Amino acid sequence: MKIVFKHLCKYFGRVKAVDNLNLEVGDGEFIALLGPSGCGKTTILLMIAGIYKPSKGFIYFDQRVINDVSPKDRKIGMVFQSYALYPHMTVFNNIAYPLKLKKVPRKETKERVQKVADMMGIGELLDRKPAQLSGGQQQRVALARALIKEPEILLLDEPLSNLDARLRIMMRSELKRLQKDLGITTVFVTHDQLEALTMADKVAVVNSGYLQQFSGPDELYNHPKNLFVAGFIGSPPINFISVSLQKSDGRFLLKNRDLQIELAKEIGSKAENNSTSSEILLGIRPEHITINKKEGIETEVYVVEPLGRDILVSVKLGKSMIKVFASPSFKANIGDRVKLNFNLDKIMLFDKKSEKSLLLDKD
Amino acid sequence: MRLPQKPRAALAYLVLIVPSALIVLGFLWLFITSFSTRTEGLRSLGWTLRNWSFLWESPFGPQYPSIWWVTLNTLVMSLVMTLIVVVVSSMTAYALSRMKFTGRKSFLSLTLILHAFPSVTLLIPIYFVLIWVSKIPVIGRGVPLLGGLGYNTIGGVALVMVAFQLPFGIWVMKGFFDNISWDMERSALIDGASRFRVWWQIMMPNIKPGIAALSIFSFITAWNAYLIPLTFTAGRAGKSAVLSLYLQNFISESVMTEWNAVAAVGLFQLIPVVIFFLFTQQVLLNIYGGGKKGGV
Repeated sequence: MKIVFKHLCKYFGRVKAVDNLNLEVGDGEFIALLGPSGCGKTTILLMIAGIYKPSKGFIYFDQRVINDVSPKDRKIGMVFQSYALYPHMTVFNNIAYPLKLKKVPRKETKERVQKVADMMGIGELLDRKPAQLSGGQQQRVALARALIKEPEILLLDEPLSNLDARLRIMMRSELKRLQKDLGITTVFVTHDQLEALTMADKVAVVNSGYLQQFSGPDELYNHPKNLFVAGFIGSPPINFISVSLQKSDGRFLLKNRDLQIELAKEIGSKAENNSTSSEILLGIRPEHITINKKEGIETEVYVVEPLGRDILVSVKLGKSMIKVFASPSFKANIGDRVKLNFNLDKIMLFDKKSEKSLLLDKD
Repeated sequence: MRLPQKPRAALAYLVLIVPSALIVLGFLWLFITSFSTRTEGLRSLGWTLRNWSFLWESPFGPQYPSIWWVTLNTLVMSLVMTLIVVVVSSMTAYALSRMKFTGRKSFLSLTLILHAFPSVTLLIPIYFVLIWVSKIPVIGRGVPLLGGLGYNTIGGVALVMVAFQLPFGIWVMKGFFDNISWDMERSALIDGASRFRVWWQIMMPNIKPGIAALSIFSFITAWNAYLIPLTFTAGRAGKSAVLSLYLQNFISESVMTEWNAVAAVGLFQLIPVVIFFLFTQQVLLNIYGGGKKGGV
């Protein structure tokens, strides 16, 4: 089932929860709606479910406009952040509820429930009540309940938020595998960019009701379209430095009080064409900076955080703080002076006013 | 000034015991009096069961209903009233809590205003309404047990009591509904349930404390009601009398009042309520606070 949004808007009184959303989800794709709290992603999900009606615009399932179709006729399964299990019913009855409503005969219901429960690994828990289950088990019950209807679209609202860290990592891969096995078009909502990048085929980054970028994880990470996406994706977050773009003797330079970098010709001219002023923002990720004892940009060590696999060093560059990944053998004390080298292939440049990336070709 | 621990506890006990003692004293007098011929203060001057004779013979003569008939009236009236209040309140409260419709806010304010409204002022207009209802065939005067829904019937009294109890019931039930997570309902709607099914199969089972609290409160209010049954039934020992009215018959201006009998009948009316209360105290305390936490 393909999902298409055309000029989709949702207003709550004067508040624009979702504004002019245009998006296409292909059949069988696993896509994520990613964004900070309150950005409108759950609203979009509830509009797909039919709980909220769009204020403007259209939602298509395949070729059909489904704006006015009631939730129960939409062939969707949904898992809520709180799982929303019915506390007064047993696990069996929770999972069987959609079938009961469809008046499926008892025997068939029993078989189907057992099958789905076994698939989710909760086959032995059918007689318990939700309150007697662990968080992970409750989530599986919720999933079983969503899947038993054999839906054409699966909706997940922050499915991993209520799980502890270890379980979260395990369920991430399990959910991804499950979706690939079943092939159901899946949309899930999350505020955790790592979850989105690892699980989804494509990610829609949303902020304040607007779609910022819709691409695969690689593209989002390496070629963010604007400041928001660059800053939101990646942990630890990208480093931003204010610089001015200057041209002298046909060479393009990025300068500020503390550093001077020469840009490659193509990058420099693209940036010059796209920018509205010479004051721009330089973005570079911690893993694309190397610490060098000999030559480079002068900085002072502020704090050193060992992460096991690497060491995260925070250094002061003038008034800004920069985070850099160093190898585990790196040794330095607070206050030491170290030199940085930027990987010039991985630099990102942004316009200060429009916040757009300066390195994209104009489309 | 912080008092040291022991005197502080003693003070607390004092503040609690003195008023409680006064109240208990009253009940003690009631109990002793009902089993005595006469009392001097709390001292009985002779034990007897004579005062309780109304249990097996009518004290006013054979043409008047016995206490058991009156008790049945009271029970039927209270149960019918409680049932209607709970059903109507929960349906209304669900709509007010979950559905969007024009006039919702005004309706809510109206409910609150009616809750505080002095019901006494409406007695005369209601009398006219009930007289009119009596004229309707069948339900006016002919319903078995209830006697009908018009004037001078148990059904009529129950109806009026329902009307006066509804604003409170709606407000309380709405509080409980508001505490249930929206996600549970949304999930049921997506699974294919109609609004009515959601109300009956998903919401109501999770509101049990609210239903219990409202039922108890309403039942006790109806059981003890005096003004409304008095106004809307004819005769204090008539066919439609309730216990509180029956009690009045023992107090008269022409003959010397038998206070001992009054005590006995009063105690008789009191016993079911006390027993009820003892078992349901915890649930009652929840009523204004709203129900349990919703959702999983």
